[in-house]
Amino acid sequence: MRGHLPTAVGWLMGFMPMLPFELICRQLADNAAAARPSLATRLGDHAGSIFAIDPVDCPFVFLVTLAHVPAKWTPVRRQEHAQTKESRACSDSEGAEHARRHGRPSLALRRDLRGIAYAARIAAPLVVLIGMLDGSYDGDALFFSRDLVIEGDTSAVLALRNALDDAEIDPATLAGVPAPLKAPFNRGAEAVLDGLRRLLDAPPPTRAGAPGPAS
Amino acid sequence: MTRGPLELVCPAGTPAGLRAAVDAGAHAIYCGFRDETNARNFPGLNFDRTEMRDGIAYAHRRGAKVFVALNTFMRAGATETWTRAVDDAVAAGADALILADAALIAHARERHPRQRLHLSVQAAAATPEAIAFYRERFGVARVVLPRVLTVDEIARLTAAVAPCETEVFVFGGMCVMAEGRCLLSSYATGRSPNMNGVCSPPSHVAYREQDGALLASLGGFTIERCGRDEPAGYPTLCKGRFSAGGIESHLFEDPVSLNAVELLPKLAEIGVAGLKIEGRQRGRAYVASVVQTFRRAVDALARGGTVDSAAIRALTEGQRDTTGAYRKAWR
Repeated sequence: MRGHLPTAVGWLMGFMPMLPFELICRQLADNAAAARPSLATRLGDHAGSIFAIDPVDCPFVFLVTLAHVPAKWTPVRRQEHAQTKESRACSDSEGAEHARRHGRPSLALRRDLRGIAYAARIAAPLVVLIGMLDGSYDGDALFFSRDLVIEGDTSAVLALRNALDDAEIDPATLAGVPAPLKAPFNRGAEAVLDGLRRLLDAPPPTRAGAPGPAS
Repeated sequence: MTRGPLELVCPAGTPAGLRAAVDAGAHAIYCGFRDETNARNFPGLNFDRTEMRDGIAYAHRRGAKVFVALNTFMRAGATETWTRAVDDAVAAGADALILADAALIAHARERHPRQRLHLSVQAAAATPEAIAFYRERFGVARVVLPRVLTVDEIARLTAAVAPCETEVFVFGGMCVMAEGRCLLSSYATGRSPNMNGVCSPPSHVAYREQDGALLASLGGFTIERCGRDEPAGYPTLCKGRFSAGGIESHLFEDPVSLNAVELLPKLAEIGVAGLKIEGRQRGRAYVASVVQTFRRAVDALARGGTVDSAAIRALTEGQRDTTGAYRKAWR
């Protein structure tokens, strides 16, 4: 895998308090979901799946569900219980439909994945994962060159990749930047990220017109 | 025998992919509905009816065409899924329908007599006689040729079937099987591109790392083991690595991509009408990059210039490319 952050940066990140970073990332995910409501629809039956997004050069892992439906705890009378269970029994696809309609993104940070259940894990250096999110990279090309590792439910990974690719989530959308400032914000972010990728010797972006590898 | 400008026919798996292809200079885009009626029925991919209508309108406003692929074979007892898809594609304003099933072609011709029809590579029509049948019986305007013919064979076929146009693949995943008749995926998974729209359905694909190597399995069968720094490919049986006669090799086909950009002058000369780029399952970054490169090549060719393919090699499966059967010396 190419594009790793320097080891010292990863080590320093280990001292970073997780909660503030998690709250910022949650806000970014909320911004993306609010701007692209079709994301969950395109995910189909995988809308409620838990994805482990693993930046291999960082001391944390993201656990993401794009259409998470929080569990509701409602006390019911004992005889109503069986009836409610029966009337609420639904197929997996009905459950996914419910998630698509009523879910919202859920994001959590964990130090590692021990003891955590997830549908699929997607692993690559942080700058490569960001490039997949903003459409700079083609996921298949990264997989062919072994710059990306996937494991778990391959259907879920494909659905996520295709849904994100269609969503065209740019840095301004993630940051919730107002429309008039989006273009300059994106140009600036793109320049910074392209520079960082060259500095870290990450794979050259697939995007048309993107700069090639550092020579 | 040059009959007209080469038409660049580009893939779109999503509305964003369609816009990327149009903006990058595609003359035409091919895409499909989000169901089993097309041969790329993968999770998260394809268009619902509204997206298709909007996508076609976007392309038309910018002078590009949209071909709707309905190129699987109808399932007994559920033919309405396919016939309704034909009617909806026509209503959405499709410039052509890409079809494989003879009964579906008959439905399209009968219900929509003015609609332009293309014969999908899935129909496996590779002889003048087979193409003539579709042309005479259904008025098919263009046939997409399989990737198993040499350039000389394509030249003879193109001349023999005129005025029916021919379209050939020039870039993307290689398939050396008789498309529409390949059952390899069915053997391992029970599902095939012909009936279900999926070759190696992702629900049956699993990857795992073992001692730095990447192991790919399909339907529970391990079909590939890539060393630590060895490029990977798609998890299809035809590109799997097997042991036979004591030798471990990619027995049927190497994991490489077709790249016929250097053959464009010859393809133009022999009268091919359409140049098809494979890859509806690829991202918009790939689509934009490949389409832009090929559009430059086609435009350069039209001006009498030369073409350059180095820029797109990084996108290829297995990081290697080939001119495939177009220059083959074997049979």
